[in-house]
Amino acid sequence: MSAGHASIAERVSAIALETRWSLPGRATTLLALALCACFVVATAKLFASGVGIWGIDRPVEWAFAIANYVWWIGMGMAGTFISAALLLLRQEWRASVNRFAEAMTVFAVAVSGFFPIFHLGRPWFFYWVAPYPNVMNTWPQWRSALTWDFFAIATYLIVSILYWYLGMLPDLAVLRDRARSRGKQLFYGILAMGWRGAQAQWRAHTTATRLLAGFAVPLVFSVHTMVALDFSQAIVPGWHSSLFGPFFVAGALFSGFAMTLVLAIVLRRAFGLDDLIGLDDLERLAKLLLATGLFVVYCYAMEAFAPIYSGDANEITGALARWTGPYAWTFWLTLALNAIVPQALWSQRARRDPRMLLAVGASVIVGMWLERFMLILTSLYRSYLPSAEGRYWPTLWDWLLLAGSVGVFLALFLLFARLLPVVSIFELRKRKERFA
Amino acid sequence: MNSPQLLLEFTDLDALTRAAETLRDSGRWQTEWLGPMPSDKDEITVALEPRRLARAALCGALLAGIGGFALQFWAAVHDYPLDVAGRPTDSAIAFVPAALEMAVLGAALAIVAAFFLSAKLPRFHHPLFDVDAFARGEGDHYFLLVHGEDWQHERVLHLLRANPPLAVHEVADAAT
Repeated sequence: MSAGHASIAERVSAIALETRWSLPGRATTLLALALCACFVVATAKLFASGVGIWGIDRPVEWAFAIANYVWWIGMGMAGTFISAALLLLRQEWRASVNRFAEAMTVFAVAVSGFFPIFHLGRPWFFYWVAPYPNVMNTWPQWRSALTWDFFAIATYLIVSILYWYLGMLPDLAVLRDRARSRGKQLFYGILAMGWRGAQAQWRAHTTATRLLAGFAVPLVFSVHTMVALDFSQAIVPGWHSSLFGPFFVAGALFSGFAMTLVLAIVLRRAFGLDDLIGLDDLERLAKLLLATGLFVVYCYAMEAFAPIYSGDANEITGALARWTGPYAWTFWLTLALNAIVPQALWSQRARRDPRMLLAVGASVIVGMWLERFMLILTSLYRSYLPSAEGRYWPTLWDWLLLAGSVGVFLALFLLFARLLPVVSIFELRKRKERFA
Repeated sequence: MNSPQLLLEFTDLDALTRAAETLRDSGRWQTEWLGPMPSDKDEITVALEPRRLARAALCGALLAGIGGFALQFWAAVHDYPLDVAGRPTDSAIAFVPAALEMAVLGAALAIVAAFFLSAKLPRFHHPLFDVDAFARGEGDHYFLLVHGEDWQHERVLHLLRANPPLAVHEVADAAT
C-alpha cells in the first residue's frame, strides 16, 4: 500500500523539480509572455492617454473593462468552491483538482483586480476608495457597491492566497525533502516553514483548513453577490433586479467549473496525470458544470419573464431591445454557447471524453464573457431618454487589454506549474490509501 | 532534557499505531507520530481541535466585523455625513457588506496566525532533520518518536518484537 504513495509524491514533485518542458510547453510560455507584453503596452497607453482610447462613450460608458472584471472574478469562484465547499461536504475526489483550481482562483482574482483600477478616469487615485485617514477629511461612499467591491476583492484575494498556501504547506515540505540542488532546497525550505508532518501539526492543519473553508464559502458567495450589486444597484432597465445576485453567483460557478475542466484536461495531458486526474473526476466536474449551467438557464428564463410580468414599460422595452435590437446577436450567441452547447453533457459518453469536455468548457468560458458583455451593452445602448441612444464598438486597445489579461493569467499559471505542486500530494495519497 | 530519543520508522500508520499502543500501555514512554498525511481519526473527528484555532477565528471575525461596522457608522453618521436628499445617514444595512468582508478577513488572518502558533512554525531547523531517512522522505514512511524517563533501546525493541519497525534511529532532544 505504501509503495504506491512514493509514486504520487515522486511524480508530482518531479514536475516541479526536474521536468524540462517540451515544445508545446515552451510555445505556450512564449505566447503567454507575448500577451503579457500586450498587457503592459495597453496599460501604459491607457495611463498615458486615458480611457478615451477605449470604445466607451455616452451612453455605453461601461464595456470591456467591467466585463473583463466580472469574467475573471467569476472564474475564480469555482476554485474556492472546489477547495472549500467540497472539503466541507467531504468530497474526496476533489483532491485531484483542488490545488490548481485554487491557484486558478488566486490568479483570476489578481487579474480581475486590475480592471476596476484601469477603468477609472484617474486611476492613480484608486486608493481613495479605501478608508484611510486623509488630509481631504473625506471617507469613501460606504453605501456604494463599488466600495463594497474594494473590500470584497481585497478580502477574497488575501483569503484565497492564505487558503492556497496553507493547503500547499505539506506539499512544499515534500518538494523541500526531494530537492537535490541547494537553491531549490532553500526555496522550498523557506516556503515550507520547517513543516515536519508531526501529529500535532497535522491536526492543526486539518482544523485550520476546515475553518478557513467554512469562512471561504460564504465569502465567495458574498463577493459575487456584491459584484452583481454593481449592476443591480443602478436603476438601469435590465440590471435593476434582485435576480442579479444569485444569477451572477451561478454564472461565476458555471464559468469557473468550465475553466477548471479546461485546466484539468490540459494539465493531465501535459504532465501525464491521467491516473491522478481520472475520467471519473472529469465526469464529476462535467456534472457540476451541467448543473450550474441549468441554474444559469433558469436565470435566463427568469430574466425574460420578470420584465414582461412586471408590466413596466421601460423594463419591457429593455427586454425587447435585448432580444431584437442591434445587439441581439450577443444575446442569442450567449444562449447558444451557454445554454445549448453544455446540454451535450447529458450524455455520459460526452462527459467522459476529454476533447468534448474541452470544447464545452471553452464554449462556456467564451459564452460567459459574452454574457457579461451582452448584459452591459444591451442595457446601456438605449436608456430612458430617446436622445440617450448610441452604439459601441471596441477599439484595438480594448482587445489588447483583454488578450493581455489572458496572457497575465496564463503566465502566472505556467509559473505555478513550473514551480509549485500542481495537484495536492497529501490529499491524493489519502484518497489512494482510503480506496486502495 | 538532553536524553536521546528513538525514531522508529514504519511503512504504514496501522503498524505504527500498534507499536505506539504497545509502548503507551507499558506506561514508561510517550510517543508521537510523524507522517506524510493526516490520520483518518483526525479527519473524522467532528470537534475542531486545537480549540484555539476556532476561538481565534471567532475573535478575529468579531473584532474585524464589529470594528468595520463601527468605523462606517462613525464615519457616515458623525465624521462625514452626506446629505443625499435628506436620506438617513445611519444606513446600517448598507454597512453590512463591507463589515462582512472585514469579518471574514479578520477570521482568516487569525486562523492562519493561530495555526502557525499551534504548529510551532516556522522552525527551519529541527533535530529530526538530521536523521537522513526522515529528511529525505523517501518511501513516505511514518515515524514514531519515542521518549521517556526510562532510556533503553533494548527494552523498547523487545516490546515491539511482535511487529518490529523498519528501522530505528537515534535523535537528540526532538520532542515537540
